[in-house]
Amino acid sequence: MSSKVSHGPDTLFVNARGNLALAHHALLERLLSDVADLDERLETSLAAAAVEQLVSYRLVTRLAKTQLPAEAVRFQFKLTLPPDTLPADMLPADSEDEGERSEDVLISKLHET
Amino acid sequence: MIAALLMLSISLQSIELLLTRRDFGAAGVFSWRVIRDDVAALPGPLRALLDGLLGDSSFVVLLLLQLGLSLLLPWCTHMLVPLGLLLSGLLVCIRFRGTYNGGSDAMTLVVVLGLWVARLGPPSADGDSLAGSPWQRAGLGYIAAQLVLSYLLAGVAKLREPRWRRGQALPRLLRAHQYAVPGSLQRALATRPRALAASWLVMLFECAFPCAPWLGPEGCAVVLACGAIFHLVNAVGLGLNRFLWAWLAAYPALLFWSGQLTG
Repeated sequence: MSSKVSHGPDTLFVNARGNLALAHHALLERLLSDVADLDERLETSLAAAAVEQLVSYRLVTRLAKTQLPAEAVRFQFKLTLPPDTLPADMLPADSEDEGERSEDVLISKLHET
Repeated sequence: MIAALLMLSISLQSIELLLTRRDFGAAGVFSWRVIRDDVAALPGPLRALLDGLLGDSSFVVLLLLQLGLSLLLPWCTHMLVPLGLLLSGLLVCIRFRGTYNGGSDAMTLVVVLGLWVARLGPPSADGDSLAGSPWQRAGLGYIAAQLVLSYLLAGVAKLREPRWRRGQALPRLLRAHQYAVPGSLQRALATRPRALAASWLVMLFECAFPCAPWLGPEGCAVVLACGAIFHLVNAVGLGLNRFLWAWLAAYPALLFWSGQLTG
């Protein structure tokens, strides 16, 4: 997601775009949490269908749309946890190796714009 | 003092949301048309009320009302002003399915709630003085207790995490995509000894924070100044400006209670 926003002393009082980017990130984390919750409660096939009904999934779909070029007709998004953002409980306890820790958590269906 | 700092905190929050209002409009990411499914299980009249207050266009009116109320805070000492801000703050949290900006929203609500309680009692004889009624002491006590807990719990949580104790978590946090930390700050903490020292400094400060009110008003003020610098660095480095103003608004309550406890 290309919502990285620079900041500094000038954004000490008003950092509207920066805080919006953080809210977008929180939305992604909420979807991760909701997906994990579904995986615990439902069988795999049911969970896959239920994901698309989640409010957080539908909001992230809208977020993905905002990142598309104007000429896009269809889109699909993938939620990946890069090594630097993997929660501690998803990392090997004492490993120093950060090479292959990225994990695809969700690959969406194909959406029309 | 609390009212003035809270005015600044809430008015800045309202302005930020108003500046990004396209994002919670009908075509925006946070459209109420989607989010309203969260409240589908509520009784019909309550759902209709929330639709009326949090709909894609009416939410802007709510934010303008919140901005107006926040500007009244230092000038109008009626308890209805913080009550209105408490309600609007809760509605904003519902609108964003929890909070918009995490802990800063929570601390803002704590300070608003404490100020509302403080204003429930009769005004003190010397006008703006904090050393008034039991309501004022209770309201400020609530804010001070929550402030102390906010640091203590954050410190203990870090202390329990091996990556924080080994100095690995802080550089990882600074590299996290969402914070867009300036390269100079990342480089400053890039070496293991510096990262380790900074991590332990943060953990010791947060865990020792409950001692602050027992140091007397002068000692407490020094600790709070250190806290302000900590939040200032976070605001400039990580873009967490809302935390700075929300926590600053809570500081006078701890100063007051420091005087009560040691005086």
